[in-house]
Amino acid sequence: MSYLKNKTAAFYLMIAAAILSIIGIFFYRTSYVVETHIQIIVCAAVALTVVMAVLAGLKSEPRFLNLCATVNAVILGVALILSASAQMDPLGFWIAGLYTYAQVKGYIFFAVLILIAIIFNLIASFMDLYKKK
Amino acid sequence: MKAKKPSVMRGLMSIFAVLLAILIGAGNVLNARTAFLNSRLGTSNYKTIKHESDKDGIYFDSEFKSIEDVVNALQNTAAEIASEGAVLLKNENAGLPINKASEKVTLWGLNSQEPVLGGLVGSSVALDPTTGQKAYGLEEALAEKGFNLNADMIAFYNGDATADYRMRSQFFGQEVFGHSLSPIFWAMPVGPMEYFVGEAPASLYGDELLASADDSVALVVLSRDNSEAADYSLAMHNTTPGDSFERPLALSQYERDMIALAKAHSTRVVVLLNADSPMEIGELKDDEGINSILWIGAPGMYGMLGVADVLSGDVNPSGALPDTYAANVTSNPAMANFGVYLYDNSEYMEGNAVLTEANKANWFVVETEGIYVGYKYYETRYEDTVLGVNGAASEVGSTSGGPWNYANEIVYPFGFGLSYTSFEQKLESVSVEVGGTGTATVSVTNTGSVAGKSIVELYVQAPYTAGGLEKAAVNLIGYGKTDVLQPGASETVTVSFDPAYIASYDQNAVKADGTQGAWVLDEGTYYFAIGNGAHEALNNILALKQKSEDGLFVNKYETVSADNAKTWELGEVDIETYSANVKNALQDADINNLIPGTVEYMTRADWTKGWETIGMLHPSDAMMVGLTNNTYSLSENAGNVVWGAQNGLRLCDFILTDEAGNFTGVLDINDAQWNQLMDQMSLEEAIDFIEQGGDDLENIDSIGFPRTYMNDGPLGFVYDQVGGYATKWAASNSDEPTYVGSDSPYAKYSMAVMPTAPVVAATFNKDLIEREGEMLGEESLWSNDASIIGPGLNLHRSPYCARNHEYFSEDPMLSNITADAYCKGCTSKGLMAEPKHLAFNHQEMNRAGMSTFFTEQAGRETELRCFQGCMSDNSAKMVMTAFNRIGTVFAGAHAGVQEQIVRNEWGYTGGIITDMVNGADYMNWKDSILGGGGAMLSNATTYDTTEWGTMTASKAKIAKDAVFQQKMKDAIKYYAYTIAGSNAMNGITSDVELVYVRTWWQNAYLAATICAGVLTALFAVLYVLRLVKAGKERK
Repeated sequence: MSYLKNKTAAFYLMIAAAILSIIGIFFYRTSYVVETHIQIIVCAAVALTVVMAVLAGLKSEPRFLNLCATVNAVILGVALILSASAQMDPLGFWIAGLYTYAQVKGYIFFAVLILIAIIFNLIASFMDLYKKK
Repeated sequence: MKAKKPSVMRGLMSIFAVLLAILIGAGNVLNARTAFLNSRLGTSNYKTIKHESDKDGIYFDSEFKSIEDVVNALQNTAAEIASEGAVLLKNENAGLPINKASEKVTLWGLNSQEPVLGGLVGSSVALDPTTGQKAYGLEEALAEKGFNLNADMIAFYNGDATADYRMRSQFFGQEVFGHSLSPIFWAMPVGPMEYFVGEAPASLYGDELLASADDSVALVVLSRDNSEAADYSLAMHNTTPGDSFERPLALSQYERDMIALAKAHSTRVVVLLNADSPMEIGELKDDEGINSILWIGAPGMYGMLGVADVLSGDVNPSGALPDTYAANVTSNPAMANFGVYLYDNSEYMEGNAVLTEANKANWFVVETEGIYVGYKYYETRYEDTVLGVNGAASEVGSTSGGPWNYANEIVYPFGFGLSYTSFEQKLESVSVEVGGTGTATVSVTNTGSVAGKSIVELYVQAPYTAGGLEKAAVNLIGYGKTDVLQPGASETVTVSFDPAYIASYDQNAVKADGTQGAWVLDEGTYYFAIGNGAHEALNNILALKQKSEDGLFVNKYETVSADNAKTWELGEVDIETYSANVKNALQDADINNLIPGTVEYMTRADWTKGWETIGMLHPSDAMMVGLTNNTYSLSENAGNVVWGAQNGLRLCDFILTDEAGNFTGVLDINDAQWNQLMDQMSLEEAIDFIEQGGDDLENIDSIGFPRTYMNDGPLGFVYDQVGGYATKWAASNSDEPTYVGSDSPYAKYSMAVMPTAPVVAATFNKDLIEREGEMLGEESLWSNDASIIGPGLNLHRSPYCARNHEYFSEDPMLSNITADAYCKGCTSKGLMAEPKHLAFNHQEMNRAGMSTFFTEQAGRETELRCFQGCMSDNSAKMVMTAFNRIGTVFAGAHAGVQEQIVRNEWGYTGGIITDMVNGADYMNWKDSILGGGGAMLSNATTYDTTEWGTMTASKAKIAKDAVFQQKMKDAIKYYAYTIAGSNAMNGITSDVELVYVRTWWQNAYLAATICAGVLTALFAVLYVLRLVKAGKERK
């Protein structure tokens, strides 16, 4: 496939990060506290990846797409810290034994997946999207 | 050197950009948790700068010179309370006392090794053993007091053979021993099913072991534990392997087998009841092989030392039961409605679910027993069986299956207690001044051979007409206690009481001013009596009333004397004297007003009524408004609410002192200057204060209101919240006379040392209870913690509420008087006592959001009476509201209780705060403030996910609602008034300046954020430069 022929590992890492983000949203929606704006922010990162994937097929190989990983990492970082703010109480109660694991595991899975997605995007940011000719 | 590729710079820029984004976001979290972080890290955002002054600003002094003296005094007070609170129920054939010099003692029962000392969570007896502080179990206390203990039996109970039978539960994810109940803080669709009694089977006892006990006194320990967020239930089965019981408070088979062994292998048998919940012990009372029964409850960290003194006779027992001991707990009418009852549109109803978990509204309970709680039921029905009226002898409610008979239903009555000596009490006189004070004088003579104290219990019976106001046949109205009387000595005890407490509440009475609802003194004959418990007092009344003792059931140890009852006549009904500002306020809590015809409440006119279990309800539309937490809404209304005024006032200016600087009081709350002080606040400060009561009370800089700590619980500051005396001190306070630094050997000592509430109540000693409050005040001074969340004042409605260990009694007046003494003691040292939970929290299962329904008469005469004493005389400085709903309205938003009854009728001037926000939708700030509440035990993000959001996010709406703003200011004014009169103001004078400073962690955070920003920018610039260079190279 010529579409993939000129793509580096950065491309695949970003796609993987987007998939993890989507899975993360599903887990987030089962957590004790669900905020709509967190889902919107994560979806924005996924949408940016989709745009990147579409534009990455252009023959002109736009270099600005190299910044997508950086932007996605920052967006997901914002989503992670903003979501944590509302989860402090449930997590604290879980540690104290007042809540069960079932009540917080949705958020824990979300946080772990988003963190992995951030790391993937950060690794991708060290690489160009396109292979050198 | 090869230049770095742009991608490397881009990667580095990405890392620091993400870090920067996270740090900026973390700033919100850190700001919201500043108080929590400061308390954990020992930092403070304020330092005091003292200007030249001759005032030390120490308004409340300690009576002790050192923390060591405080710790020793606490131990002594706790032991004294436990010794005076121990209740001797049976003592035959010289069962007690034990001669510790000559008699060997065998501790029987696995729980003798790990007795229940407190309750899980807020009354937990926890400590750090590495500090050297010690909790005294029974064995440790007896050993310290010089008893000779059977080491073989102790070794057996601590060995491998019995390990699997030790009481155990889950507590904060850990397995703990010495408890069986496990706190459950989430919804329970079914009640608790398991209870581990913790007794070993008889088959494990070898012959040699049994023989070792033959020459000893058997001390048999029977235990049942306590916990917040837990209840007993009739569905429970005994999970001790191989053991069984009929009900969790009845003896188990292993316990019976163990007692049989003890009887067979001892010189005599003494049973210790180590349980705050009344156990079913009729078989022990009637067992001739058991010499003595001593109730000790859960005596706390040091209480067993006091118990040991009672066992040895160094202290003569003088306590009396705070609860009725029924033969079968199911005879208690409250048990008909105690458990798990769902609305038919709850989320658990498939296909019909309307209510959601967020609503916290699935559960309800209808308290059908009305005013007939505990002895008020048993003794009243007893009188009616003697008089042969009202169907009292019917089989309904009888646990024997035949006609109801007091002798079958009651083992030990409320207020009963024996002594090692004997006393004669004579009721000399009673006088009552309506609108004034009532007084009874009682002469007490020690007619025995041992010195001891005697309780004087004064009861009253108001005239009852069938079909009229519900009235119990006998009500405790006051009590007193002698000093230690030597054999042959006498003392006259004067019992004072408020005649207001004789009145009954009539929701149908219309007063002269046209308002409905009044306290009524019916015309007729009132009887006052004394007795060793409610039953003996009632018998004395009946003997006077009937002029004979025919038909009376007289317990062993009781006497009947018509001379110990006196009459008082009221010529005409009085509905005005005690009804100033009074009007109906709880009509929305009566389910029959919400869904007509739902229930027949218990009535003395017909004892067959009031036993129906209301298992399910369909809420009306009106009820759904409360259940979906939309009782109130913000609105736009104009008004002149002043914020940010520059009036130059500070809170410390409102403290009154004498010329020597000693505290004499606080400016009257009705003085106009308080409003001028409140005008200085900003709306932002007020919002922060109300919304962030979660860790501490927030400081309000514009009025000099200091940040104020508050912590659980009734036994003393609980260890898992305040891990020692040094926890709340900062180095900047080191010049305060009661400062305890982290290098002190007592820095990490636990302060939760007092016996549980029923033991305190059982002392019937106001002076001693006040002393307990004073000692808690000393804890406050030496730990810099100005408010204690206690005492617990909910009524012992049912023996199955496992949180009854935090509450005093089934009797409202005993709770009322005990609470007032406790709070007065706290206040004397500047400690703000914060009773809980206002109101009607009678079971722990599904307490969050549970609707409670009752009649207004019952609500006012039972539960609320427990709170009335300390709140109407303002010895209570704050109050914590309950998790449950009153009717369908969250307790912390119920205007009827918080505004009409507590403020308007009782004149309460303290603060009101919610409990921990366990459901942001139903414990919401708009309903609470508009319903007359105060601060929320929440933080800045608690309400993020609710429909109405946080108060901070709603500031624009609040700014348009003048009514809401004024209520905020009023709520905070009560706090300011309260704090001004507390030791939270120690060290703060008009010559002291509180300066805001950043903590080291705040500086570290700022530095990290700046670094991340700088590095992000640096690598961004380098990236751009590399891109430009790479572009040029390509060309």
